[in-house]
Amino acid sequence: MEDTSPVMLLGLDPRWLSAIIFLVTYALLISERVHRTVAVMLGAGLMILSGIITQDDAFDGVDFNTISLLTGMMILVGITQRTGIFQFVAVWVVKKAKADPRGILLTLATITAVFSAFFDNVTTVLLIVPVTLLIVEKLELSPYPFLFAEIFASNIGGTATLIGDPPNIMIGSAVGLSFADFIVELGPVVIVIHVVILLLLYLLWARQLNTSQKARARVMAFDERDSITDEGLLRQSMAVMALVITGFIVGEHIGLQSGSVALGGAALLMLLYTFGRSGKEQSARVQDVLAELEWSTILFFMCLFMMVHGLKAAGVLTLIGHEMVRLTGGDIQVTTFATLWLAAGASAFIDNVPFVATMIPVLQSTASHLGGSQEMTPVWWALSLGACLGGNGTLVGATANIIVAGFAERSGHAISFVRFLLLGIPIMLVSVSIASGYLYLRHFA
Amino acid sequence: MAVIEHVRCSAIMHSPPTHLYMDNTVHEAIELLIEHHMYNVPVVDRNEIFVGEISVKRLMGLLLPVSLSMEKGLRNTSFMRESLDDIKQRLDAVRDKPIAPYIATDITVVYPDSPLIDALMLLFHKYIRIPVVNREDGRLVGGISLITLLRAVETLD
Repeated sequence: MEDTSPVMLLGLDPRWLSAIIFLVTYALLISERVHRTVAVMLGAGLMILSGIITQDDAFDGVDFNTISLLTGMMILVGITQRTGIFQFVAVWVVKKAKADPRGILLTLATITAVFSAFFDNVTTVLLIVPVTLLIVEKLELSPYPFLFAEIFASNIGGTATLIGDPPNIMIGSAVGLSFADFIVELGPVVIVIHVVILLLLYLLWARQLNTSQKARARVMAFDERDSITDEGLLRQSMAVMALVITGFIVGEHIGLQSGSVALGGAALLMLLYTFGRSGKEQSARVQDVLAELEWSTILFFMCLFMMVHGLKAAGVLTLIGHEMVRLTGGDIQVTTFATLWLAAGASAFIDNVPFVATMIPVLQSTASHLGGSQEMTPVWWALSLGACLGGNGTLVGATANIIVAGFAERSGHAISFVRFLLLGIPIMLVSVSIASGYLYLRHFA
Repeated sequence: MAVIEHVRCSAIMHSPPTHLYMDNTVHEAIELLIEHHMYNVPVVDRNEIFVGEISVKRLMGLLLPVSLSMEKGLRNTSFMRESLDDIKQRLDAVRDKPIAPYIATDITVVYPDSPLIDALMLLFHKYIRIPVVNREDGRLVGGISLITLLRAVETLD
């Protein structure tokens, strides 16, 4: 039988070696001198080459449920967005607000939050922000209030569901929390946070948002129905999305994991998208959809899981977990709030995906000291709330923020890091404070 | 054995090429494009050093809302309603501004001593007109387009 046990290089302690590999990779991620996918590919490769884990161990460390869920949702969103539904809803709500800038601020931020919860926040801002820029250009207004509101709403909305933000996908998959669990547990607090933040933004900017009747008439002349490019595909997309969400909800009762549901839905929608067409056209459509998948993100997640698995296999995460238990005194309440604020603070400055990927096994290792996995539930909600809401702290706190900043710069309205920070940090503090109060009332009062 | 002539870009380039200066206005650029029925015009500084090109696509971008013309901008625009007045308003806003911010600077050039095939491949894959610049000082010395090429080929007869 083949020996697959790890062989150490240079006789180095695997804990030190894995920690060094991990920290160097993290430094590369923070510095952004190396593309994040390349950085974690190097980290995962070094974990294997140095003998900390074998290739088989590395593959075992990949959470394929998360990978399937991400890939499936990318395909579903990729096809759905071709129908023009995002633009339709954006223009529709703007017209419902009678093209009044204050109403537009509130409605566009709200649909950004809702789309972010049920699709994903990166796709949402990619599709909503260009429409927003067009509308504010027609209204002859500064785009900043609208763009800032959409950034905050995308991160807040994405917190509400299993599929809204990648940290939730990872937490849900690792801990076995379902789509319904997320909606029930986080939905109410996300609604409260969204309303409070919108109210604050409204109070801050309402006076500046004035425009002429002529400018409003230009926007009211838009016809949202013309933005729908394929009604048949829209109906099919909506039906499949409804099926997928139903699958997420009932799947937990029949042993069907969310990754299978999402990939199943993606397969069904691709079938509908290509059905009845010639072989050549089917091939072109499939290639077109697959070409738009974010392969670098998928590879990033896979290699990240491998790298974190190396750290776990070497025993480093258990050590950190023990230290965490010592610092919190093994108290579940202290651990919950420490996790919430640590996750928020860290996610404001570094990518929340590697942070959460690392924290999951750390927290799992503390479960036996904190009363078992059932008792740990508030800690997982704290990790989700902290990691997602923390993204609002700085301009680099979330991918959605960086995408909006890119749009802003290309449209001639660059958002500086400090300008965002001055509003982002207070918004984050208010959001996380509300989350703290909610967790306390729900689990510890 | 027959010797195949190795043709250089200098053999067929038209010179001097029509060009704009960096401090010309958008209005002057439009006038030139219309006058010469050109789709892209090389731009030089006051020392005649090549700096880039101004193209119809770049100018077209000025006539559209920013959210449509920018990279990764809005593609699905059927819901919009645009009037000629809207377009004129946007043009009026930039008409008297210098063209400098709208110049595309990532233009591949050829040199007078470059093999002609380099220019032909650029014409085939990328550009309508290739600027020819002096290898030593970067001065614009000529241009090669499909018309230039066809004229050169026709004269062989």
